[in-house]
Amino acid sequence: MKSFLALALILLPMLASGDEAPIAGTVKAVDAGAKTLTVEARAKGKVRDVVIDIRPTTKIVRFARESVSGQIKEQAAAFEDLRSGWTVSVTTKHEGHREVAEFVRVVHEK
Amino acid sequence: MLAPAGVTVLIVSVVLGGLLSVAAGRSHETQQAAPPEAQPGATQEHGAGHQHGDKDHDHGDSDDAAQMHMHAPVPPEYKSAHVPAAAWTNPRLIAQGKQIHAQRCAVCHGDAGDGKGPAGMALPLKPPDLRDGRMVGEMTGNYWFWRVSEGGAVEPFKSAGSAMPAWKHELSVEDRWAVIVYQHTLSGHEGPHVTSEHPESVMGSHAGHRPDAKAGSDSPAGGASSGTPHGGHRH
Repeated sequence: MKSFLALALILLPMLASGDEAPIAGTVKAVDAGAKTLTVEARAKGKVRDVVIDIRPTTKIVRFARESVSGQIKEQAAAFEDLRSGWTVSVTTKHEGHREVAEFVRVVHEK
Repeated sequence: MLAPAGVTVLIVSVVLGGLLSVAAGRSHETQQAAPPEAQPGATQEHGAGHQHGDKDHDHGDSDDAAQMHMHAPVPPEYKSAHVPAAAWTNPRLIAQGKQIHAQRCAVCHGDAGDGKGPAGMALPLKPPDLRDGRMVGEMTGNYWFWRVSEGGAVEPFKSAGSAMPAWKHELSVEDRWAVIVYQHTLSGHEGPHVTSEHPESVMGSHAGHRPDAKAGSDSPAGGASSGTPHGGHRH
């Protein structure tokens, strides 16, 4: 019984966090009307285009130094700032058949 | 004997897991082919198949991964693209590389090169620890130059999930040499990138592995022929 409980306690958090691995890749398209990003994501032998919905609640950040020699910090950005060719890492959740962005981090601005 | 509480919890977790898997799978199938790394458990799998000691010894990614430390053969067009021998200890070039690293690389690789830059931490495939002397010792100059130049835009790194930019589009050849020789110092090496300076590495023990001893060519495709660093085996 204890082993069952231990197994369940290990499995539950892993399963519950199933959708949270970020999607990283190059922005192929920004659709201002539909409020979506198309990201060419790469992983495990495959390269695929993923359409990601951006919502008002989506947090978008880029990175910059506070000063020339300062630390690199997150800075708030807007959907309108995003450009094709940039590299992003996006944390998403599933809503029905949609991939919805919770957190977009701009990794590289080309 | 039945253990009601334990069995109940187990059943709930299995059912819940099944539902989550089905939901995730359905979503990915219908949603413009979402990538595997968005699927449950994928993050762990990235590293799992690419550690030192794997049976097939096929690492993940050299630049992108402390977790996924991959070496692949240097492609023909970069075989001769050595970093000039004198560059490794050139103070001007090292200083130039430090600036470039701070401006371009540190966001992922970290100021110290530890792979813990704020953007790198968010990547499914984490950057490597450039302070790792053994890893650095394994990277010959032309291999390093190839990685910086092409980033994650080429195989096998592309398929492995590398998000590293191809810096050849934004940095000149000299700038790429500069950032490489600066990053070389992050592992504690102040001398040239030669075997005698990397006693902790396995570089000298493999046929075909050799540090850069020749002057580099100006372009990746040109210059003198070289050995086959990283080409003689796959880690």
